[in-house]
Amino acid sequence: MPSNLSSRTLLKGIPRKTLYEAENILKPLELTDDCYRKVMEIMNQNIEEGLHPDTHANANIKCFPTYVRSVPDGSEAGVFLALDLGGTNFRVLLINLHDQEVSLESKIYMIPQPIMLGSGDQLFDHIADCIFKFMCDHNLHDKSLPLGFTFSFSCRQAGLDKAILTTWTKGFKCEGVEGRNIVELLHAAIDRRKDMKNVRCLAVINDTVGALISCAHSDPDCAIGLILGTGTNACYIENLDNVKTWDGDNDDPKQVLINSEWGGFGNDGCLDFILTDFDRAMDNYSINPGKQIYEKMISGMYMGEIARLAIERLRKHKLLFEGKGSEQLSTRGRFYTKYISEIEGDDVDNFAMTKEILEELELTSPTDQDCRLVRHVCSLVSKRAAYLASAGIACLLNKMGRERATVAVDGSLYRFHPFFHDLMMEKTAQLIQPNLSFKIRLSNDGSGKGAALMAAVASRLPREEQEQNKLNGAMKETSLNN
Amino acid sequence: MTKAALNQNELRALRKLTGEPEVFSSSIQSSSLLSSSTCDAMSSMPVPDAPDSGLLVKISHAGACYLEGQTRNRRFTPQFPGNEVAGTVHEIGNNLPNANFTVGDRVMVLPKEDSINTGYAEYVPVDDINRVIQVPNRVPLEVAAMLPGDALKAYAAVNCAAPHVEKLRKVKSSVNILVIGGSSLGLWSVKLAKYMMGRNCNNVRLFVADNSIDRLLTAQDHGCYDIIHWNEEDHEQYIVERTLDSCRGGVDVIIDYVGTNRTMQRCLKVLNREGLILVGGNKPCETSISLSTLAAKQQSIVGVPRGNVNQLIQLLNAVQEKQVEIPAYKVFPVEDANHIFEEICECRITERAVFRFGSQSSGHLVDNH
Repeated sequence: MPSNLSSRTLLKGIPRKTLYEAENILKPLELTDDCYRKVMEIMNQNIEEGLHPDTHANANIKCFPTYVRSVPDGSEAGVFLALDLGGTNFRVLLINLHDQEVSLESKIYMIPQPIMLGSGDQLFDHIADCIFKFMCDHNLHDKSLPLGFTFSFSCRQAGLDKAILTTWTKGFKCEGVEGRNIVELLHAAIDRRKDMKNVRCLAVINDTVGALISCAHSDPDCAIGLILGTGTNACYIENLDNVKTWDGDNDDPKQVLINSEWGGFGNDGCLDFILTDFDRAMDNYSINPGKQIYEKMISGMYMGEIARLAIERLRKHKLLFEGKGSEQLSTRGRFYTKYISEIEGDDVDNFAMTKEILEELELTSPTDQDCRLVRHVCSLVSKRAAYLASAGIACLLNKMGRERATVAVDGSLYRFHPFFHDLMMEKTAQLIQPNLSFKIRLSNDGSGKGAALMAAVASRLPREEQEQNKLNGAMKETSLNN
Repeated sequence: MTKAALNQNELRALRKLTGEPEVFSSSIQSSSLLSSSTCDAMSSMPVPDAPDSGLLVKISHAGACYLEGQTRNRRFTPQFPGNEVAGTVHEIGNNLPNANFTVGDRVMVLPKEDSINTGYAEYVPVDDINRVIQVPNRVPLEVAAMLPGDALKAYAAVNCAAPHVEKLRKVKSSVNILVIGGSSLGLWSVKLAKYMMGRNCNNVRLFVADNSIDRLLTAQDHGCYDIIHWNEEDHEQYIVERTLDSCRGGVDVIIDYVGTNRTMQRCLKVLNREGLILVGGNKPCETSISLSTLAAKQQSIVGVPRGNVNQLIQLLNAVQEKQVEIPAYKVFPVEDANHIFEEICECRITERAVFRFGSQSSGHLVDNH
């Protein structure tokens, strides 16, 4: 297990002048606790704005209600299909739920670029075709299959099975989908085929809801779903009383999952006080300049680029690689975020992995000092990301005020970075109110399993309503306050 | 004679395409390119003499070769022929007694072990006639041009893997083969594996892994069992998980045409006990392997062998008899070489590109879609 070295230990042996100059350049990446508390304060205000109809339209943190009122309690059973669309890899899953046991089969289908940029009908026809192929492979054509859909793009939920795409991200640009209900589009594509009448989508969620629901299946304290991957987002349980934008019923449980869309935090410039030149340079060349500021300071799509810009700056000041760079190091997007995880997990006696990465970037003969400085840059960038995510989590935990809560996390940044969990535990504990306690744990395959569980919960609702009618309301739904 | 010489702008574009000038200038190709830049694009070079004991071949088609794995986000190094060339005998050496060749014969040329790239030349002197293979009339020269290069290499690799696969088929209900690299080598491997397995291939599954979705979709169209996206931006563990999700039961044989430390580390994580890795290294790179694990699991790592003349003749016969399907290819005028390499680099061309030398045929493009 690699150890999280202190800066002092890592930078031992580097000449004082070099260290002084490097630290001057990198200093803006280190934020004070006061900064994190101010971030929390502003975030809390933004969330309030998102939850109120008067301010919702202009809010940076949209706080969309998900219409998910119940979470699994472990009693779910049956066979369900799940879809997971969050990028160029589209997954179809078959999930069997039985007595808290989950068995799962899945297949990845690729989405070619012409379909990512074509018409919405083409995209959903492709999705329906993938579902059909999966059903053929698994002999499912004569089975009734409730389906849960994890659609990890920015959506305004209008019902459990209604999600209006607000804007495409992640390289998708299909015509005729923004502003439309994606479940409707999926059903239309299925109906166009005329050979998949047994497939109906009962629930559409995003990956944060999936993470929470997947974790809740075995942990009743689960109250926050968090994604730390290519992007970042969080959902949490909110009292209906606080959701002024709520337009649904007020039945028990009087709570709903809120999809915060917190990646948009900072769009109005409220985070400018912590932006560095590296952040600004990266934002300028992004596909959405000035948008998703909080996300760009945390998530995997951008973290590697921030590190690359910092390393290039040091190189230009002749503090790295004797001032000589490479075309690769100068190429935007070339310093993958996985490099950060690999470098920080490296053995500091040999820096074998670090040297290999630098060689992939065509940087030859790096010195021990080069490796230490590169690792230091990676450490600063990832620590800031972990702490900013912690500030967000602490804000939500304080807002909910639950004595005990579990945060369910998914995403490559959390899964593979050697220290992200520990950094978040440390900083979140520092920032929450003293009477609260929390756990942060990995949610396994929230996008797939969570979607199936949501379909299970959704398919349970009509049956429960019948039972309630029959028993004159004696039966109650599982409460989120279990 | 027209030489596809590069003018100043073309040289600059190619230099940009292939990386920094300082890096480029250190290679042999650079010197030949630089020397060819002194020629006007339309100038005429003298036709070389036939070697005394050899042949002078007039080239009609040449495959567009490049090193596997070096596309998109990486330095891209075109390889000029003769690695894949075909044409006609133009002149026969004076001291070639009892030659079986006649001027005008259709031939393809097996590359030398240490062949030096001399740029695109219309005439190629060949000292050793053992490297010149007659092409039957039923095989188009644009197809013949592909055979001595990637096709032969893929054939040699599949031949090397075949005994191992046969052994495993007797004891396993299914055998998983993973081909890494979805360009021409990968496509030829898919077709040649089908050819060699014949009809009884129900329990052999061939997967193709690549960084490019476009190339993977082309591989899928060529009939591999499944494709796996080895996205270089993804964390290594995701790539391994994705591979094991697809190759249920692990991988038994791997043919790795990319041959980097990263591909090797992934291979070792998905390879079964008694598994075999055939690796073709493209560039000098090292990898670390746990020898105790290798021994305990009885795994093997073998270099992809170069093909030989006999294999090339076998391959040619199989193509002639239409026992091997030819992977998709497109023919382009050699004057468009720079642009075509750029398209290949961006994965906008995923089929094998073949260059046609102008004086051999009229202006129409051959497209076998």
